Amino acid sequence: MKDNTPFNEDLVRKLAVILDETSLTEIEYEVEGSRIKVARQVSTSHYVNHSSNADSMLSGLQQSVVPTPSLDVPTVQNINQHPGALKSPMVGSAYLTPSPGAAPFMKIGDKVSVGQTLLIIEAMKVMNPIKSIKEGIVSQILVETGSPVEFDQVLVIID
Amino acid sequence: MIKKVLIANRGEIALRIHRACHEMGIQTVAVHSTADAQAKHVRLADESVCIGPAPAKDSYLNVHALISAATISGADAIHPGYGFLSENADFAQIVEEHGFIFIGPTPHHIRIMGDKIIAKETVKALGIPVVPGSDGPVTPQDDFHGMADKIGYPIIIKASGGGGGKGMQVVRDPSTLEDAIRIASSEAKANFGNEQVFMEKYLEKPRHIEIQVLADQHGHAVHLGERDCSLQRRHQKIWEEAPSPVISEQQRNELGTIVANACIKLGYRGAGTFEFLYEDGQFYFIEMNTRIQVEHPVTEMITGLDLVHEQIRIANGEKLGYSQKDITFIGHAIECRINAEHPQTFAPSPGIVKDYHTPGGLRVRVDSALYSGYKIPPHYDSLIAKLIVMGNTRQECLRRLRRSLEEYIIDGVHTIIPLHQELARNEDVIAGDYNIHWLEKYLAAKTPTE
Repeated sequence: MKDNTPFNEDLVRKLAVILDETSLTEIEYEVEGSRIKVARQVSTSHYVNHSSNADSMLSGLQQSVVPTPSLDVPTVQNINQHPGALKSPMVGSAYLTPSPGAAPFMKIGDKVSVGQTLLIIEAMKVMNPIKSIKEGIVSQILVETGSPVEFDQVLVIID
Repeated sequence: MIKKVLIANRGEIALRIHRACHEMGIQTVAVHSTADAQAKHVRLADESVCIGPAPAKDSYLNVHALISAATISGADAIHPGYGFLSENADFAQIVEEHGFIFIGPTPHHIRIMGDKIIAKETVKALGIPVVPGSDGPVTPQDDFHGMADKIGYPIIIKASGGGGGKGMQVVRDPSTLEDAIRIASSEAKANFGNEQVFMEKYLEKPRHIEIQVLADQHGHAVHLGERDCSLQRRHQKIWEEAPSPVISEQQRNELGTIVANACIKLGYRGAGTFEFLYEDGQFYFIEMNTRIQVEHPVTEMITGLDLVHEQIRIANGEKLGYSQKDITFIGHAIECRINAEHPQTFAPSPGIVKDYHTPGGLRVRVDSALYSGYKIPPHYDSLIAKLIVMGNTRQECLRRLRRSLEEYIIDGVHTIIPLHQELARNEDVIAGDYNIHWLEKYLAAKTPTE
């Protein structure tokens, strides 16, 4: 963006919401020479498909990320080492709302405080609230309601 | 019909299970700790789930995480491998209660065979020869002198809730008996949380002979012959053979039939191993392992059966499909357990494997999850590979073993390959003339090389 263009917060928020509500990972919007891009960091799927054969059984969730020693996977590296990364302490299924149809615990852009419940992970029929260990702004939500999560998987990024 | 198996283990056995599953068209879910994210079987499995941090208690022993992982991955069966939770009856029970198939025996059988006193009573009633003993726990309040005199010295005090040499005291003289009971009891309490001990006749120079069995859920059972696992260091096997250099076909058939019939009477399900001490032509039952064992490959080599396939087939409810007369034993097999340890000091040697070259050729098998560049984590046991070779005769097998050992390169960490090379050239080993104390004596007598 040019220096003298006022920051259009409204537009950015709208684009972020669209990103959130759709399965898009990136939206770029350009008008009169100024361009805004919002992007979602693509996380490694908790299911890592290692099959190199055409007949592998890919589910909709799986991605073919094979972390070999020589393969540079910067996205994964960055996310895991992000200082605001909230990692899952357990294996289970993530839920972003306290109950089906209710408002989510958090959305992108929200300010959260330490100890605030951000999501639930259900494991063996027990709902475990996952609390923020940091104060800040939610910049990325990397799981969806109902998605399986593994130990140490990055759930949320808080800036 | 099992379609997806969660492998609740790591290292070489996890890879072994994955291989069997893929050969049977079954999908695999590899669970792993953070330390094992780059493990070979994790990279090969259809799906993987990180279940916890490095320490085993938070990952491979974490029942909640394992059940959760099975749930979210949609697995229908769990294979526990060996060690970890494989002989934990509570885990087996929880697995079944959550609607998964546990690839192994019933929780009940795991439980009874997990208690050495009950196991002994159970198998004795089934006609299996046992070590003469106290037939129950011994406390300082009992007539322990009377019991010991009846058994005959020397005797050994053992913990009923554990093994691996802990909570054991050998007594050669009645004057030290009472102290020995107290010492063994406290050690047992400290190691297993259970101070119960019992008494047995102590055998001076036995061999460790074990018999492999398979039993389906339709009343059929077979034995797959014996394995001789006498070469042990600190009660840990490092070299196993099938068949045993000293057991005859008649002895094999006799004992094998007894244990197979015992399985049928018990209603046992899956793979199992009856372990014996063997001295002066007599077998003495010590315990039963209700799981697949590390050394199962030597039995596979001489029978041609894939034991992990059979475990899965049995868990699927299939009939064995063969009877004892269909089991044949061809040739001789030896397995060398290769640990990441210094060959003389046995200090653990985790680290990065640099050059890695496995031996090959006819009847040479390597079961290992190593690869060049792999970082051996320090958190788990030191077994990193198993070299299994086979020959038409035992001497041919030994020649092939010597040749294979000289080809095996695991660069970057210490391993006990040099020790195996010595053993494969040792005249007692070549003659098959050893017992469960032999290796300790050999190591104690060696002059350490600089």
